[in-house]
Amino acid sequence: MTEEIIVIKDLSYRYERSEEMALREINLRVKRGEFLAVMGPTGAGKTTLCLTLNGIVPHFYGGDFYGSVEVCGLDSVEHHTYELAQRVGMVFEDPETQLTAPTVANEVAFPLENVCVPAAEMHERVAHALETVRLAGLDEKHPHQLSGGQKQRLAIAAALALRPSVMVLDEPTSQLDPVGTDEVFSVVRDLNRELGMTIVLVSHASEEVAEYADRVILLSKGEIAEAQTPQRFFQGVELLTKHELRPPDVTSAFALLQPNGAGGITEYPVTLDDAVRCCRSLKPSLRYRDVAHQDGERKDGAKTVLQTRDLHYTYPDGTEALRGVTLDVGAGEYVAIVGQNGGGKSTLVKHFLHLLTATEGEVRVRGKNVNQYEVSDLAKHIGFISQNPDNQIFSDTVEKEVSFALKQLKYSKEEIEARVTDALRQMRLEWAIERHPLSLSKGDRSRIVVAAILAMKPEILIFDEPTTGQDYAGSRAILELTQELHEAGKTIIVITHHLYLLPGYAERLLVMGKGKLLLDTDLRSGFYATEKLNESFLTAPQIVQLAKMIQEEAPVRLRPLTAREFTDAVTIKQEALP
Amino acid sequence: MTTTYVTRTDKPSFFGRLDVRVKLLILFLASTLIFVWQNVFYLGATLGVLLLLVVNAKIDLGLIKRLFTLMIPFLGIVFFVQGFFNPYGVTPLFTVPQWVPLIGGDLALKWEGVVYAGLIGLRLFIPLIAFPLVVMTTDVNDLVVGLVRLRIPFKIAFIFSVALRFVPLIFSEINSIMDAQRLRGLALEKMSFFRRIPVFASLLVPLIIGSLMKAQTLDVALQSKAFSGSYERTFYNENAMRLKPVDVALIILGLLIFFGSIITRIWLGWGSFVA
Amino acid sequence: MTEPIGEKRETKDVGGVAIGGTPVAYVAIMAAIVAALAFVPASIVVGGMGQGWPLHDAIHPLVGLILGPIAGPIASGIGILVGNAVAPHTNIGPWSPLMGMMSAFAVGMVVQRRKYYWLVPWIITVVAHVIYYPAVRSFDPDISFGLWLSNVFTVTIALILIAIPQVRNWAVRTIHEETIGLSMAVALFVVFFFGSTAGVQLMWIPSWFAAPWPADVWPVLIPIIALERTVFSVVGTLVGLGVIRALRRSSFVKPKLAGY
Repeated sequence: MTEEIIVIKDLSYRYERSEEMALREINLRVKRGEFLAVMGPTGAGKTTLCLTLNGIVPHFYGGDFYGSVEVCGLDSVEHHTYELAQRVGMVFEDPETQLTAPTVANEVAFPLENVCVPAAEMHERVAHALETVRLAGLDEKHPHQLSGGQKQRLAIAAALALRPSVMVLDEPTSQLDPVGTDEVFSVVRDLNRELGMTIVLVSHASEEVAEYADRVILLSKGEIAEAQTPQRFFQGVELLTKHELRPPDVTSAFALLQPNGAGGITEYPVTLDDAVRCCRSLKPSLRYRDVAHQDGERKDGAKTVLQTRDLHYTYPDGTEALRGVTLDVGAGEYVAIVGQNGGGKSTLVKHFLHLLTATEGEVRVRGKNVNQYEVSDLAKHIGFISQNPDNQIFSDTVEKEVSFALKQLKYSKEEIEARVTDALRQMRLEWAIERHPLSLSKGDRSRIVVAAILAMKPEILIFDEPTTGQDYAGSRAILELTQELHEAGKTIIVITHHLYLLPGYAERLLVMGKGKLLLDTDLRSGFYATEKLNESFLTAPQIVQLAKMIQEEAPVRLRPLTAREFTDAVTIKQEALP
Repeated sequence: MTTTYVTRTDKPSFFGRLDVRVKLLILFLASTLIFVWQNVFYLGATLGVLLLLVVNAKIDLGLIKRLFTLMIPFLGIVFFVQGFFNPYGVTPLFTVPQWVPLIGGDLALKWEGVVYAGLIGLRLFIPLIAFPLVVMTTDVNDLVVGLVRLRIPFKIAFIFSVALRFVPLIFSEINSIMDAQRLRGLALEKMSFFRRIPVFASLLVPLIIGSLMKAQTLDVALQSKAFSGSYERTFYNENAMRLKPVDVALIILGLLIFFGSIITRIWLGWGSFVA
Repeated sequence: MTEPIGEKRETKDVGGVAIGGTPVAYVAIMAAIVAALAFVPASIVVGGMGQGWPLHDAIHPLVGLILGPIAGPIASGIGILVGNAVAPHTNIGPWSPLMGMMSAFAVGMVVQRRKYYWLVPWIITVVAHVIYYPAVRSFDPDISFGLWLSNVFTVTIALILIAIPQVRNWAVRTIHEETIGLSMAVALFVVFFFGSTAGVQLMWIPSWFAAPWPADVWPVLIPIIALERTVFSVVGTLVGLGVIRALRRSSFVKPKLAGY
């Protein structure tokens, strides 16, 4: 079947009260059964484009709408969202705000109730949808009791129950840990390959897009900047860099390895399997070097600033979140804590802030038992930046926000002024001093939070999943920031499950799983301790996986973490080239 | 501050199995009979029935105890005020001795006032228990279906269920905002009442804004699931709609009590104030 | 900026699934906020009975302002009922929804900028106000007219204030204006104060029949009632200012009958 299921003609759209076009002259046709990926930086119009497909733009948002969107032959302006929703299923980023029912089965049944499916048929369809997303048997569970990946699969099941022709997924994995991401992608792939469903997927996950999509479009400032097969799309490393997208690691590595398409390979591999195949065919001409990589050194003898001894914590509901963690962090270290959601990462750091009190064991900050501090005192030594900036902004100007803590701590007026200016300069936000925080971008709002923390001049900074829900550019910006702070002598702790972002920044890696510290080592050894990572359901970055596979076939020791390091360790012998 | 008092009890029980409409009727009776009757014995019996239901529903009695403990200071004030000043008071139990300046010899604790205070205590406690009793033993789905059966528009019933669902989420938002504030040196416990006012505001503003933004996303998600708010819809839990004979009997009994209590109160004076 | 090439399309009904012009999800989430705030006992006392006076009292006028005169009371009422169930320690009685619903309704109506809308909540409040006098005397005839008036004068002031056309019109106009400053604060306070007292006045009636106070303690209640309403209206105003400031800068789809 080559019928076109989505036909978008000259689509432009402007939100109410907005001056900029959110979408501009979009023309797009999607075939039945196609897997289309949409990529682009934050604010490019990806979500808006999704919402035009079931008419929420413009029916709910109002605004100015030009051109036409046709889905399954229905014009989106002529027809109600109610009708379009029966043909286009949608899954959104945040699992919390799309699940409303008290049980899993009711969640799936909700759309069916809306379109008056008789009860008997409903039970059948609910069971079937749950089976398709591999949640059969959980019917009576409360959606709250599910893991992130399960919640997103439940959202897919609910969309699926209406038997739509198109499934639209708007960053369905950006809030998930690697296990959840895998679960969701494998379900989406089955929908496409086995049920022949048309998929429109918005994602920042280059590796997965490269693996599953038939076609990728790049949105930039509301316009389609590129539309290609993933194979071709990710070749354009330059274009991707220009639009702040990250090509798959292996693609970057091969682009660096042989920038001119030499070596008999006309295209860089875009998936890990391709890359392994490529390496095999190049094997005779590949040369390896055991490079001594320049890693930041762990400062031995530095004063220990954070310390736990056999720390246990059990939540009031009986969940054992920490089961004996012993740990020392020295002044000036840069530590990454990784591990599956629910592994105890956040619970651990909250003890340093005395937001939680150990059930058993001891926590010391700067040599003193944490129980001897008031939370407000600790705040002068440890800055904590959690994931959602909007829960950490309480004032209506940037200036008030940054001085909030200083006023609480009763500094003098001059001191406050000096510290505010200083903190804003450090975050390059001087221009925003009079602005309302909500009038700034999400990235800038995160920086305001950091500025407000820096104003207290803490010597330790803890970032709790700062890169979750951020695009590549946003994530990089935050890590650059941590780097600067680290260089300025601060102790940095970053919690994340984006392992590929860590090289170049973190020096020490703590892997947590099921409330225990599974691994405590330098970053490089940690990334190559793949069994330990797997134990906490983490996957090493592609480059590490590739290097490990090469080692299985050749007697070498390779330890690269990034594409650049890979090309230091692996080269193509020039004379061997045809 | 954020102890969640109410969690759902899943233990099967006679009360738990009753139809939602019966439970809502009990809630209605608990909220109205306290106005009809002014008699401690009548209301005492009502409380007794409610407590039996609480025991039957296997609700944690610790909850009831905690509630009662929380009420003690207020009940103290009520007993003091009504005992000494209630206009029904005639029979003195204890007179403030002459040597006490200003009020001595004049002021007396009176029996009728004490009984009246007991009456107020009962009027307070009866609905206080009835609300969690019904909500803790009712599946939210059944509540929605029950409300719809009572001719309440689906949209309203739906708002009930979504609100219940989102309370814990709002809580975790409140907690995370308050944590963030404490980490910026805010020590609420050290503040006077008036200095807390702007702090409440700085908590509520981000809470409301963040939640409204979430509400917008939620609305988009609902519409994407073909939600139209229409009266016409089917229900997954159809079984929850059928009344069993015991439900019907209890509904008839409940209505009889309601109308009967009003009629007998007006014509026969049953349930008027006695001391 | 150049006009885009596609044909401009007219969209008919904007706004999604609504109740009184407000998306259902907004009403539900607001109700959840009200319910969650029921956990926080805020007040010094006892406007009615009950041990803790819930903090949500401060935000009902704001709920009416944001969601409008139909959806606002629904959110407040459902929120309070849910709150009574999940936080029984601040359950001030089965009639407690009356107060929040009336507050939200009163504010929602006043800010509509229609000539006579404000009269509806005003008349209801006046009636409740007047009935309250014989009601309290039926329990304790010692309550004189003067004592009654000194007690409810907080409500009387609000009723008079909002009935003065210049004050009312100025306040409503100022709330709709761009600039968010001191005059907006005063305007919000005037309207919220009316909403807050209208709610409490209506609630006093059933509350009185369940738990009346004898004449002797009335003098003590005079300053408490005045202070309580003022403080709650101030908190509401401060929150309102922040919320309006933020909402106007955001991409939030405004409910049709919103008054900001």
